[in-house]
Amino acid sequence: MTVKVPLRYRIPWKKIVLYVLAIGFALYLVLPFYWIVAMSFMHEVDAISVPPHWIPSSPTLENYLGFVNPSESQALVGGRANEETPYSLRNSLIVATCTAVLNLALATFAAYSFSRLKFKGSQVLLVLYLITRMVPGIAIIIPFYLLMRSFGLLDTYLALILSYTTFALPITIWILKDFFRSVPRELEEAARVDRCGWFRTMWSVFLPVAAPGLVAAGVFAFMTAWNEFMFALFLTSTKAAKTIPVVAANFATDFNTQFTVMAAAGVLAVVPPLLLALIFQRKLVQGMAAGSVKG
Amino acid sequence: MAEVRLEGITKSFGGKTVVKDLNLTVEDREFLTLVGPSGCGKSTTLRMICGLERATGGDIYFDGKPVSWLPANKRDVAMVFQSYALYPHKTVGQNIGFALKMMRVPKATIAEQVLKAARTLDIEDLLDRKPRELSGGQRQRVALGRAIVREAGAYLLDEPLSNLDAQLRVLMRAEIKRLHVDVARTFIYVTHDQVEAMTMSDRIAVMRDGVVQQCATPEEIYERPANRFVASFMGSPPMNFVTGELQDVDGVRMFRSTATGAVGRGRNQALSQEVTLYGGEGPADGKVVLGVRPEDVSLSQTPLPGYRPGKVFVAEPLGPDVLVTVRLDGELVKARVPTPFRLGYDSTVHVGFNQDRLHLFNASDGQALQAPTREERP
Ligand SMILES: Nc1ncnc2c1ncn2[C@@H]1O[C@H](COP(=O)(O)OP(=O)(O)OP(=O)(O)O)[C@@H](O)[C@H]1O
Ligand SMILES: [Mg+2]
Repeated sequence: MTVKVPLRYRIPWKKIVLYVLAIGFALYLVLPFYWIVAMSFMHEVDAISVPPHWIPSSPTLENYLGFVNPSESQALVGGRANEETPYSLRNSLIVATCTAVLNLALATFAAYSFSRLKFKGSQVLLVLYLITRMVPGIAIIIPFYLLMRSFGLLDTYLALILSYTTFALPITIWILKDFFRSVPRELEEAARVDRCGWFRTMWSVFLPVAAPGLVAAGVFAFMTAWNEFMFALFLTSTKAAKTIPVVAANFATDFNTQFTVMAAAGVLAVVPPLLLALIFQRKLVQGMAAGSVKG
Repeated sequence: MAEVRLEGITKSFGGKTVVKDLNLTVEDREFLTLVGPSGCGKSTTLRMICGLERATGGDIYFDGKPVSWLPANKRDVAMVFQSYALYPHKTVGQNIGFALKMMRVPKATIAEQVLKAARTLDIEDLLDRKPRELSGGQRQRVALGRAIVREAGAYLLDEPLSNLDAQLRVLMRAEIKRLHVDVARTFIYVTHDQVEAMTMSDRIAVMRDGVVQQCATPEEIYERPANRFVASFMGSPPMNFVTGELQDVDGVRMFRSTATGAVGRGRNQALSQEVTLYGGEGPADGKVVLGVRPEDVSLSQTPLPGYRPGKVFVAEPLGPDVLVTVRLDGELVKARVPTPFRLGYDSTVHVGFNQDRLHLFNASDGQALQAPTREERP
């Protein structure tokens, strides 16, 4: 008996190629992350073995516990970075959160004006905002450093928050401006007719409707602050204000560093942004879609 | 509970004047419709009444009190927006109750009022849904509910039915008309649909290019249009127009058509019709436009006195009536005649105009020269 291949059967090359590419890309993104997570639960010996162990043979929490309570060997090698990690996480959280909040507060007012009012020079101003982002950080880091020093702000949260706000604000304004424009003006008008004053209109109608945009902009500002390295390196010096990227770099420069401890620090550094993304995931996707459909 | 009076209202955007010297009084509990083609300034007028737009000139009074300087939230008005403008993050119930909440009405009362409004509009079971989960017709009702839930001096409705399909529109038209009677308040309704205007209103204000052409009852607008624009805008299918001139023939005022086809074939071939003029002598050059509504045109297979021969151009059955287009002296004239109509295309048919229901307009400025209603004749 012969098996009849259905006449119209074709090998779905398009699908296969698409899937291979998609899986390949996913691995490319996920594998390094998986590796760092796996490594953070390994003993040093496993981590440096060739060929690498993809699954920890005897998982341990030692690397994490070390941050709180360094063991003797850890205290000996790379102890500083080790000790500073928990503080830097706290610092990063505070700085990034404050940056996000300050940014949103300022950008909301600015973006609302740009989206609703016609005034002379508004286009020029918007472009100018973007241009400030074209200046490489290295060009202004020295003036910034001197400025902060003369205000006595070196090694404080405020120095970081202020600098990060200047980076993030232009982009935040642009994100919000586009988003606000997509919110129909009639909603505000309806609120006015429904007896809301201006503040009430903003608070009860406009801002809730614009929430996805606010979340997207807030997350953006948070990430900007969370990832920033160079300014943090210049402006901070002790565990009072050092942020996680700076401390992570300390691991790398310390040539005694254990890879597993570094991996654990890396994992900790990723957790807050990851949580943030997960919590706001739905709003974020909404926000991005809504912002992109109408410009 | 409010009379709305507009005095010399003008509105310009930049250099462009979109509403010109508008004078209009809407009586308490009246249903007044603003009707006109797209872009004629209807919405702008409505927005000035509710305070979303400030007039460039003129004053607005509610019950005799000037309100021109009051912002929208301080005026005693409710509005239904053309786009509904429902709050997307609030449920239907919250949408409807929002204004009451802003007016600090106690929670229990709000719930009660919302339910009552929802019942009137037959949307009680939708109260917990979000606007995006509703159909167009349901959103429409919510938008209406948001307005009628509260006491307001005037209710402003901006083309509330324009986004609905034909069937629903007819249904909602009747419902809004009934609602007006039930709530007994002042309604100002904007539409570009002349059928809505005719069917719902106590009075209609026909606008064009920011100027009110005529403000009168639907009957008056239909029977005695003030000018050619009103005559052609109100009525479906629209009024027939025949250009021609006035002549005195043996002491009788006659209208003669000057249609291209007619001139070549000699005067007596042209459509001529006895007419009576009121209010003056008519234009100096004698050039006029004769208007007659399709239902005032009758057709006959055999020649009758006063009827003129024409050829059937096309026949469109409408159900009870047939809309027949006849080529008459080079012009196309529409007649609305009872079903059945059995003549084939291009066959000869005799056309007569109802003598009592002719409209005559000045050809140069379009102003009405003749009143057609019999009661008004001296
Ligand atoms: N904010 C504005 N700025 C400039 N021009 C405007 C503005 N609002 C309205 N206009 C102009 O005013 C004129 C009247 O607009 P309006 O919205 O009142 O028309 P409408 O009669 O409601 O038309 P439609 O039936 O299309 O809704 C239009 O030509 C429009 O372009
Ligand atoms: Mg309009």
